Amino acid sequence: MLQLTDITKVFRTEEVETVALNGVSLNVRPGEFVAVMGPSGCGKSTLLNVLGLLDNPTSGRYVLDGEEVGTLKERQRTRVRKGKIGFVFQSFNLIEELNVEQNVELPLRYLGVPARERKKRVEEILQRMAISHRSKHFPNQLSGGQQQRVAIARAVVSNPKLILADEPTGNLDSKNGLEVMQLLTQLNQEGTTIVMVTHSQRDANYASRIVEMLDGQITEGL
Amino acid sequence: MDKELTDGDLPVIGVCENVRYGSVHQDRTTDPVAFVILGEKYASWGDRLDILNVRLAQNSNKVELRHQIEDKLREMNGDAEVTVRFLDQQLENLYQEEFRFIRQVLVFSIICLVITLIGVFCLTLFETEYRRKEIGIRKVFGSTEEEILALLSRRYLVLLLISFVMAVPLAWYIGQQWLLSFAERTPIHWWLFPLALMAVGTITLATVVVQSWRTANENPINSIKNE
Repeated sequence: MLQLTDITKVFRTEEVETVALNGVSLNVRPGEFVAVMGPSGCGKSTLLNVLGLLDNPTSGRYVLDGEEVGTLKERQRTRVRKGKIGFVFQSFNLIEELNVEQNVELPLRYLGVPARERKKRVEEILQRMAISHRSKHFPNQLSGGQQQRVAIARAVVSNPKLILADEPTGNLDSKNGLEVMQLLTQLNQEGTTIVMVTHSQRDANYASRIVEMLDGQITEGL
Repeated sequence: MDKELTDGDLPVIGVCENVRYGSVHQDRTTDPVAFVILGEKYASWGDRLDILNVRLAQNSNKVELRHQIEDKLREMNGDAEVTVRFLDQQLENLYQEEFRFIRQVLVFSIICLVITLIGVFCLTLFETEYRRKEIGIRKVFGSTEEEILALLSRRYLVLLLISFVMAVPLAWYIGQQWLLSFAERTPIHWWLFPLALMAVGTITLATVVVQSWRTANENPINSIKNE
């Protein structure tokens, strides 16, 4: 599914240079569920940003689904990201001005899916996430667990091959966190590749492989 | 025309194009006009004949020519007082009110436009900051910079169109009323209105785009970091 080879990411300002990723290599097979763990500042989020084509590595090679994507420009990265990668964030990152239905259909809009098809797919995914009864509600009218289910619906509505989850249960209580992890596990069993960053050992245990990071390098689970 | 001239007749030696004289507020199109060249025979008509129209050659020195004409007229007129005026000055004096009105309308239009653009600029500044996170989320899920700019511009274009629809009949009516005070008037061409809309729309859009460009191009990571 994806191969990282000797990836380095350096952040430079006038005063300081930070090496966030230092020669990281990682292979993720299609259908795998990989959990990335490590202390704060070890480079987990930077790794996720590179995997999600939100940022380019400073050096190294990144091949996603057979395509070299590590050196793409912003416009090209957006093109590849659309429809291939879904994102689930710790703080949900739903758009407050849009209702549940409008939030979930966002990736389909940018893929140019016609309105009728969008409506159908959104309805299906909301029913699957058991949140269709709230389709006209706005994010501030939902609980944390419900918001995260909407975020997961948004991540999967375009049938992406890869889901990147950045501490998906970080802002949830244990009950809602459990529900979210069960949803992600279900998606993985249906064939979706998942890379999840987490601090929680309990959540990491849902994964088929745990990768440990420290100081910008992978120390275990290669 | 084919009668024999008697003693008091004036022969017609030519017919020229219609000449417009007086203010355009007055309808003089039906007034008869004759240019009469009178010789010594009519010297007794005296002071009734006291206006001389002189056409100056192109690129001539108007100031020097004016002095020459004044000197010559004094010479011919026995040092009597002569007044030389230029036609464009006469016209400006005749239409002082109109020129003042036009200047006022222009100045206030520019002031209105500047105030509006300041408002658009500040509103866009506020909006791009307020929606920074939303813009980041949209970019993560596949929006391009152009789609972000279109999203931010849409509201202003809609407002512009609504304002246009409301303003056109009013502007047309006021323009028509003003033009009715003139005997001869130019029509209000239909294309003036869409042209004004395009000009204002372009300036407004440019203001929004310039202000939003930085946010639209920002890396979404910066705006959706976890708190």
